[in-house]
Amino acid sequence: MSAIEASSRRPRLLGLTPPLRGVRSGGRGALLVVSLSCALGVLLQAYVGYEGRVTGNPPSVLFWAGLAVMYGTVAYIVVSGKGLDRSGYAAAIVLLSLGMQLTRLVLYPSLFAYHDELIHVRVLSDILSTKHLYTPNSALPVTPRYPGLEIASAGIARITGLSAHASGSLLLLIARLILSLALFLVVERLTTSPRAAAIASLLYIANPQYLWFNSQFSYQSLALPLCFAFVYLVRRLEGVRAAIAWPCLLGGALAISVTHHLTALGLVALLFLWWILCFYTKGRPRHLTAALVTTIATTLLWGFFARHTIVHYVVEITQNNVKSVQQLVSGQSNHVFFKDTAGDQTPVWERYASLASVILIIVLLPLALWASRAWLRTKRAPALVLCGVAAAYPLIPLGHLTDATSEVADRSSGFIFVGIAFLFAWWAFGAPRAFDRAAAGSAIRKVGARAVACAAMLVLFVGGTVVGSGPPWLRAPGKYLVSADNRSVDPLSVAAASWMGQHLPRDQRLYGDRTGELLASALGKQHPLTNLADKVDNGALSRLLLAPPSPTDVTTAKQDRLQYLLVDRRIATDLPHVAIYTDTGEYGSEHRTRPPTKAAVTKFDSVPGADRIYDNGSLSIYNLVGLR
Amino acid sequence: MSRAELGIRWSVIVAAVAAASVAAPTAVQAPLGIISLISTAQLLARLTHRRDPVECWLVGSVGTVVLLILSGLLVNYAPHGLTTTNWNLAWALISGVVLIGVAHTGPQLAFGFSRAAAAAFAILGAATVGAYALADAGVSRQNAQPVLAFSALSYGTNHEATLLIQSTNAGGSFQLSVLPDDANRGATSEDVRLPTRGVSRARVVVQLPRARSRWVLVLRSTSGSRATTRKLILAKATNIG
Repeated sequence: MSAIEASSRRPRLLGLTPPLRGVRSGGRGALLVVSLSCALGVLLQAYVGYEGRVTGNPPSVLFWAGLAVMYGTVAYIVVSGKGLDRSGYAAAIVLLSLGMQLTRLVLYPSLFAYHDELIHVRVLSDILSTKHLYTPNSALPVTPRYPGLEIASAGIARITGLSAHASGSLLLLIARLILSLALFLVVERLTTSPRAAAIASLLYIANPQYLWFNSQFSYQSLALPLCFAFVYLVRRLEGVRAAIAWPCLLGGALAISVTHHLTALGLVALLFLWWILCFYTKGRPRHLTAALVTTIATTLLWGFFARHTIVHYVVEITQNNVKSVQQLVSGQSNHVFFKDTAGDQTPVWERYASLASVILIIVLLPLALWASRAWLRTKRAPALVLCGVAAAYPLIPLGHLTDATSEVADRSSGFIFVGIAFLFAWWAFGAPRAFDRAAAGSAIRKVGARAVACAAMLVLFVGGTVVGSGPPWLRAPGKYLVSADNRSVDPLSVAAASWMGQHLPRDQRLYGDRTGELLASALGKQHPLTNLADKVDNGALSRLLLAPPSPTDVTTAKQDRLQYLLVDRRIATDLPHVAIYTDTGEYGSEHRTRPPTKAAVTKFDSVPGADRIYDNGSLSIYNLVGLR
Repeated sequence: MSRAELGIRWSVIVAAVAAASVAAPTAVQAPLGIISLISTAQLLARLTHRRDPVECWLVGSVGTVVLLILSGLLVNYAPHGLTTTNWNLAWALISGVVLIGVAHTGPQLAFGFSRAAAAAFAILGAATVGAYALADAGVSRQNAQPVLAFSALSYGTNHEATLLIQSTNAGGSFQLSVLPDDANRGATSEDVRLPTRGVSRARVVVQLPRARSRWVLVLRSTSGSRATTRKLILAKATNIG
């Protein structure tokens, strides 16, 4: 009789039994080391953020050291496989996942500062202030129609009394818990090896989006974990009656559909592939059809509900991607690797690390796929689906050939790396035991094999993080930079946005630079004019900020019924770090070599009817109502 | 489920709702709310009749998030929408239903920590507290950067302007001048003083020269080595606030 079974016979208060009693003494030590390394990593990241704010330059050595210590330590312990039992492996992975998420949260402990985060902050703040869902958000009109993340955050805020930021942070930690456990259980079920499951979770952490984009307060950060959990649920409900399984699946599918459009579509594709493959494998899970039907139904239903925003959004993304590919084919692409549009370059070692990670996967992928023929013989449909997903990996590096497609490619890595993680972990530590065969023999050979495996995983993690995190300045707080998302959020821009929130009526039509508009929306509760929401021509509108004085300025402001203009005069000091000052299609974005002139950013001082009503030395707000 | 456990769980549900409905301080409401969420998450896991701790944690957390999302979609259509009261009543209802369901059927489950795992998570938790303290110190240092904002809240009505001066570590003595936009003729000025350190604000009402319809208001520091100037340009009668 196992310890768990024995203990479960004794009723205990709150239903708790000691599940990890089976952790071996070596496992306790290993868990302690894991937690200490994660603690050190989180503290180092907090120090990086502190230094960045105080000196203006976050120390990159400490930044990478903190992450490498966390990842490398857990990788070594899991690869060596000593001391940990199943629960120990799971605990180690959960500690690392939570630690990685915490490294992001401590960099901005009081404000979500990244581009997409500010968009979702507005949605959350609207829910909390209006007490209702679906308040339009002009910064990205599709977001209020997919409010799962914000609903859950608002619920936590209202039930616990915590601030919106604290509730969102707590939800992101829960999402990471779900992600790590779901992936662990899915891979463990297929490989029957907890160690392979832990390795797969580690490899998934190396995906380019894990540490950055999918850790942000943004809808896919919650939808992706729910999606993985849903896939696990399909298998787990095997022995459950349909009367119970259907509501569970419907609830899960609806929650995912309400949270993120592309994740819901990805889930439909995954389940459909699985369902189709079951004709070959002849072993369809009992509730797979129900899962597919509920997912398709909820995705279509919610897509129909959000059709006015989602169609325009997807069409614009598609058009941008097609345009980028056309430019690439015709040799007109001006995409530059490892250099932003203001001239900041990625350090040489980081470039090599990212290239090494891509090359490593491309070299190993055919070998692992060749070995995965074994799944054809055993006819396990989910494993075949994951192998197929892994085979799509080349799309990620290929997508990086243009600006627009690189964004799509990076986003897809959240899905594709599930396949990569499963395939490599199974190949090396599952049934084929490629790693164990390589490590068999002398102690030196064993140590060497472990070192090589850990080094390879570390390269994948660091390289993947470099690929996904973009330019170095994006990674931590520091001195103000022009049009640089989080680095453009500083006390001056926050002060202007907060003033708008306190002294202007809500939802006034406003135009400004990229970050200024987002802050005006998130903190100032204003309505930034965008092509997606207002069908404005950004080429003409951006002339108000970027072009020299022109008689057409007043006409443009009148045509677009512009009420307020937010001008950050610092944009005249440097080129934009994210390619644009405002939005796509802006004035002068083709072949720009110098920032706008000072005359351009101060021209409204001399326009009759334009009132400069706010000035903090860097940012001015003009009231243009008098132009009408 | 024992009577003691049942009693504790009902108490948690009631206490969380009570704390929220009387708008108790966050120090009281937050722990009660979090315990209420965790309690329901644990019960959800028990409904699955599984004894695998890994799966229990997964089911508990997924179930909680999914229930929050689905209940939010429904409560949105309740009278007054997603208010604090409605949220807490909805969550109490969910927790109560789950508790009643588990009270009759739910088995004992492996949903806890071993000492080793508990110690590991405690270490990470302690480090998180320290890291947040360090990060907050950095934010405080950054927010101490001097910011002087000069703005108009209303102007033109009765030839008056209501102005706001906001300072973060940028106070001192200032001269506020009101000028017609074409020349210095007819300029008026007054002195304003703000505390040098800390956050402060001053609301000033000034008279605008009647002969003009466009005015320039200049706030200029008269203390300190660095000259600081903020400028507003106003026309017409507008009340923006």
